[in-house]
Amino acid sequence: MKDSILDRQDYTEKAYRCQYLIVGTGAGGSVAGALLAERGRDVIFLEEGGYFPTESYTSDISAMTAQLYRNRGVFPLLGKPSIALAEGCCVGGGTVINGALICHTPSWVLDEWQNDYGLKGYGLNELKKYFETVERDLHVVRHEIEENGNLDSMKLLKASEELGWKCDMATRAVNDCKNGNSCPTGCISGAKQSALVTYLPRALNNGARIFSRCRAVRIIHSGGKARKIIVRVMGGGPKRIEISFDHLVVAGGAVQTPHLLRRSGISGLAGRNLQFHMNLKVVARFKDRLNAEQGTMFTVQMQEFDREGLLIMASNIKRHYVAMTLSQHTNEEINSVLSNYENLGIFTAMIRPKSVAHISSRFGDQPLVTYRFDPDDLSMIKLALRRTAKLLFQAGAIELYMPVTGAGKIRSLPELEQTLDRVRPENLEIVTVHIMASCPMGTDPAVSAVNPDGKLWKMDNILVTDASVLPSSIGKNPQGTIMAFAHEIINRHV
Amino acid sequence: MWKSVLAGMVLENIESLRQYQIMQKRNSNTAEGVFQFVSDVVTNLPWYFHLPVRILAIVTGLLCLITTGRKLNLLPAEKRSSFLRSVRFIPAFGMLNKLVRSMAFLKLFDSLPLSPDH
Repeated sequence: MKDSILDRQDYTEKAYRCQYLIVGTGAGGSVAGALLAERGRDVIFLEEGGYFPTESYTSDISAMTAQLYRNRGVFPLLGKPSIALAEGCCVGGGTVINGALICHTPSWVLDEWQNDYGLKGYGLNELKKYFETVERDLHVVRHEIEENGNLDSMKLLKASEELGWKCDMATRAVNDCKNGNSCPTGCISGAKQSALVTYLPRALNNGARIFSRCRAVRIIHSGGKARKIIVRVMGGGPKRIEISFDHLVVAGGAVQTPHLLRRSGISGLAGRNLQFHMNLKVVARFKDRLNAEQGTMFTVQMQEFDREGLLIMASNIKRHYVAMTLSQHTNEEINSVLSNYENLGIFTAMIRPKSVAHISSRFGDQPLVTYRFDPDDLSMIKLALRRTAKLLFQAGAIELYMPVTGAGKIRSLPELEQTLDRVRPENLEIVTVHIMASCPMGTDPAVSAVNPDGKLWKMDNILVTDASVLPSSIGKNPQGTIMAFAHEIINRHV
Repeated sequence: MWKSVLAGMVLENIESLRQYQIMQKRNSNTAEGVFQFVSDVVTNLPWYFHLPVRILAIVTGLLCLITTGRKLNLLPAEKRSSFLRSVRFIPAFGMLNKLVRSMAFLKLFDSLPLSPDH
């Protein structure tokens, strides 16, 4: 496999050629490339990040973050408040650094897409076969209830039952998860079935090649057809290569895909409607020891309010993450909270907001992402925090630390109400890991960037197969949906 | 100049953390390692973030020189804290500090092991 993954020193020629060029090796790109290679097509993947196989992963969180994430983990969505976006940038893309959750697209979201965007062929029945394929390919299993590990998740499960709230064990793409607690910085045990160990090897076994550390800079096109792509080789001094192709599949993620298209003067609509989920992280201190580090993330999901776009899960915990989550608190408070580290859990309330972001490509090589905070999101966030607090107190938490600047520790729901009364958008600490819908699929070229076949309007040979094509945010972890869409798009194409 | 401000801000953010104090006893270069990491992060930001950060840091550094006669990273802890409190009014300073603080924490807590009581 390694021989088919090229790095900076391997690009000895100035120009290359292939039948299918895939930009991106994450959830959407890897599936597209594997399916095409298996059908005998000559495939090259372009990946801006480096190749880091499982055996190279360490527990050095800062170094792994610097290696696997875009901009070493710092990518803000500018607005009030600015939102930290964590985006994978390595061979395997976001699948290497996510929590491996694979969910079906909610039926009400698919209905919305059919009704509002005219998407035919993307209903639950049509996508079912692809979800089953993805689940088989990625070894998706429902996490089992544990007695000694993942106690933070188990507490959520029990508290949800007590409140009568729907809560379920999560379905994750893992093969014999060792609870290594390193999902966001690369699975040390290799249990996570990321694209790096599933679809990409399949593609490479069928003759595909990966050009790593190669950033697609501009698509050269004429007469409604993309001809070649200009590529900047990352690291070291300036080095450029060109790759010509018959077909181009763009799957660089919901920020980079529209950026590339806009920079190439191809789609004016791309990047105007970036949607995302907001993650609100709450640190909870319990009376008993949880030893949450002896577990992994997102093994249980509180889904009672998923139709309203709210999910609550136990997140990955390490001292780093506790300190970072509490960074708006004083060092004295952080010292105090960390002195009870074994009793802590970090919980994520994920919401589906109305706020929409815009990608600007006028600033050169990297996109600038800005968004306007929708006033309705504030009440949604408050509701999400109320429900999270209620659940965590029910689970036995004695202190909560909310993602609100200036809020101290919260010991009761009335105390939380006092905090929420004062909260303003700029006081919120929000992160996001799910971005999508920046090149929405639809039947009307006036409001969509790609047609229902995944083909860019007015371009004969450009497909988009990543999260960009989803017509809106989905309120669930999107990897399963992205992969199902990629299957459908490639099947329609070939 | 901008790096001396970054170094001062890193120190300000981690000095009173117990993790730092324990590490400092074992390795006097802890702050240097954390600063290097934060500095690398800033240097690798896209230019439209990197440039404003540098300008902001240089302005802060000049203010520090003018008002205290010394570079931020060379000030005694009390004076450094007092100076940094006084420049909170500078637009976007809070955002810069947030970035420095988060990245400093990310690096600092890599420096295990900790004492058993922590």
